[in-house]
Amino acid sequence: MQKILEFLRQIPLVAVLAVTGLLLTWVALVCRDTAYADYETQSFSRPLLSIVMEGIHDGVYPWSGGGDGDPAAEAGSTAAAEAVAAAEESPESAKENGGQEAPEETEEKENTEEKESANQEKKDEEAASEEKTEEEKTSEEEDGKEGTEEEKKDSETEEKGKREKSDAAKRIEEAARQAEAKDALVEEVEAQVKAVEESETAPLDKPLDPLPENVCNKVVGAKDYGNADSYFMSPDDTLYNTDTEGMFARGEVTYTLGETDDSYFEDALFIGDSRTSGLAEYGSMMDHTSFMSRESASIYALFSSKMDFREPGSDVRETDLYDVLSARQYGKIYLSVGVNELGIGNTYGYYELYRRALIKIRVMQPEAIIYIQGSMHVSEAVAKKDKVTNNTIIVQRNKAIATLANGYNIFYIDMNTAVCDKNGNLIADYSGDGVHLKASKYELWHESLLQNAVSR
Amino acid sequence: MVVFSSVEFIFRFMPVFMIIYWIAPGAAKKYILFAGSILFYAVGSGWFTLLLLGATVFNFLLGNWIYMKPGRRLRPARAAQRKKYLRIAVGTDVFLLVLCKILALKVNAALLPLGMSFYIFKMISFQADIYTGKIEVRPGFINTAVYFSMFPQVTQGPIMRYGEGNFEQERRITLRAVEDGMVFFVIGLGMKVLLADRIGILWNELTKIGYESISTPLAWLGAYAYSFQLYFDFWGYSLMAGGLAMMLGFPLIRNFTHPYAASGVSDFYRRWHATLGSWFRDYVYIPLGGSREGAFKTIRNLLAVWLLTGFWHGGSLNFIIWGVVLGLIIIWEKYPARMLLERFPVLGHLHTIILIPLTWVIFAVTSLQELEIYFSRLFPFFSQGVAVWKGDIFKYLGIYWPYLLVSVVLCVPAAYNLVVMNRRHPAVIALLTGVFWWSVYMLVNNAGNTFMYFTF
Repeated sequence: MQKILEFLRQIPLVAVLAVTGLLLTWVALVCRDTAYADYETQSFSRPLLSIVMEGIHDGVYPWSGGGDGDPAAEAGSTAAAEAVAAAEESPESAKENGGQEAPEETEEKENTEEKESANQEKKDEEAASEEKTEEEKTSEEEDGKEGTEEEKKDSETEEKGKREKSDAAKRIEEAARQAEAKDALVEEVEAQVKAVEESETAPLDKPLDPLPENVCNKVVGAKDYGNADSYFMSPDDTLYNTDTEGMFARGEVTYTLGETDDSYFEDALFIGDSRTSGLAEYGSMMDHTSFMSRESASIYALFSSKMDFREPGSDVRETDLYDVLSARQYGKIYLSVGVNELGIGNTYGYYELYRRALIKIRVMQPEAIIYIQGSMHVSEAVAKKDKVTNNTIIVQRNKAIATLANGYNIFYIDMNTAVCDKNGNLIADYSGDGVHLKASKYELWHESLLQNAVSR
Repeated sequence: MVVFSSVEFIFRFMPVFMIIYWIAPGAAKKYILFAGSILFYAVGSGWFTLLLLGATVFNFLLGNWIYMKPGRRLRPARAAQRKKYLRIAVGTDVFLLVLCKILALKVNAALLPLGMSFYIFKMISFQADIYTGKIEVRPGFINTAVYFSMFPQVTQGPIMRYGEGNFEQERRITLRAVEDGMVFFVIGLGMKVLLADRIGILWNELTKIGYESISTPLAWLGAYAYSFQLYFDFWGYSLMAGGLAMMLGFPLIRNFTHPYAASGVSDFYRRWHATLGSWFRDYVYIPLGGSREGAFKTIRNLLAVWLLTGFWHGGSLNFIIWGVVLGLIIIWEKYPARMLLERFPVLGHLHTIILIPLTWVIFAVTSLQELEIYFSRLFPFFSQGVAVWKGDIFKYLGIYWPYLLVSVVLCVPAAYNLVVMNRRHPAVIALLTGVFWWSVYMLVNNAGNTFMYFTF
């Protein structure tokens, strides 16, 4: 034993890495059927302990228990958890975080947040979890109280500390109150969405006639290079829009797309992914239009993940879509997602989630004109090479979501005519990476929006 | 697997190979290293392994014919014969490298075998060192083969000299070397995964935006970001390679000695990728006459070396320009500015940290047209840019400042030395353990990036 210790003392880093590695492997082994039941453990090229790492990334920990449920519950109200963490963080501890670890921490936080919110979204989608929400709320309240009490005890010791702590306690209370209000809002929206979904009529077994010309843009097609992974697509004869009543139904009146000017966007909100961020930054619309966007935004986490909100005349701030859509009523809502989702689920799944997102938006914005923006195509180089990110899948998905337009207060617009060649590929010169427009080309998108607007 | 910063390498190849190598008897180690290296190379580059093996046998045979015991007097016929063999060997090696480089440039980038730029340079130095008698003991086949193919160096160097490898001694593995090797490996891994790969995203962003639309501050930030990315990518790789070689019982080969603390550009290149610089010095510059034959020939020789250095990095024009520009700066430092720099050393430091990032921009941007645009953004006297968003610098500084800050700190020799000097200190062990697992976390959850110098 002595000898082994002496040996290990000579190679401290190797020893620590070996021990921590074995420990992580042990954790992975023990929890592979519980917390990590959903993770792939058969791959030769990946060590077993990588599932623990993947778990951390997804907000799943060894003590998370099996499958769904728990991680989602833990995610709870991320807003509250974050606010509490922020309130508790004293300036001293912030200082300690300096140096090398700072970037790592931010990154981790971001990653966990993303997944946590994804989990929450999953939970949202599953709905029918009113009881669970109740449970969470009470447990959160308890947590909050406990925290406050503890803080109070501590504060008796020092005068200065007292003031700081009571501030912290106040902030915690405030955060808890906000979180409660938020939960109530989410619950209410969910209930209304459910009501809308239930009121929809049964689907038809044949597609409706297309809308009259100029009511919506035609879905821009693209050359198929035969490399699209069919796993992410739906059969070509899949039926989509079949509602004859409810919010997606077509009324007697239809409006046509026409030209407008920039004042049109003053009461508009653009929601989207990195491409919409680009439009905000480079589309010369920033000083009169609102944007809600984030790199990697997708229909899967549209409401649950934080995004960057820009309003004319104020700084960018991070918030979620519930907050933005409940804060004021917009005249127009433009939605543009679809690229980050290409490798998740198939077209039908995408369509379903898109439809649900539109219902949610409509519930919170009853009067707004909703614009479904077809996803921009990718360049020929990307389309030919990539099994997932290619125009075959993008076009199929655009066709699917285009069917959600009703020509009355929901419209489909497609900017691909402005940026694609005759094969439907994004023109190579317009893009640095084949997926995003170059800054100098966002004006084309802006122009296309000006040309395709509905005035009611 | 050929990338050191991949989970397959760290958790599969490395531990399995190291354990076999360590427990094998001393005399067998070199055979195991050769077999392991060939396996490693074959996984990475398939049939090109045959080219490596062929070149190994060829160079071994010619080296043996060139070899003579030091101090022996030669008949003129034998002297001429040796010279002829040297010419054949070096000529063939150069021909192979140039051929593959041209094929890669004109036909398909995949035609440049992995690591060829590095192992061919080892082969040339091997022949030259035998010819000049620097290699005193006749190299056996297995030693020669291990020297050319050893896996820590085969993909990206460092270009170790045969004489530095202690090939005639039986490998002894000390615990100290294993521990130190691991320390360097982990530091290198962290630099690569936590710094270079993160900062690299910023450069991609600039490409995505399009250089014509970046603000001047962002253009400068981009130049520094790319400099840091390249530095920590390649220094990180070199430390990993050095650490691995140490764990195999080889001495540490230094490739980087704090280049950004250099007193001038020529000093910078004694500290940056030092094994390449000293290779060009010993096998091109000095044989051409070095600086002994007057200013005119010195200038000619310097330009020749830097032209070749440019071509070694890639055949496209930007690399040639990069090499020539560096050659001119070094000539400028050596002659007109010499007195000035000697009197005010601070000027040398200053112009290094300003000029070097600018030369890296030439290195990074392969299209001349794009290069011109980039420089017009760096120095916006003649152009205004297109759709420039003035706030871009704040956005990217806001995201990347922690990485840039750590990068700047690591450019200060004292900061790095503090860690290395105290590598047995528990705090440093804890830090490195954190760096290691954090890197693994990033590797597991992101698709791995290859090293930048893989393409040369």
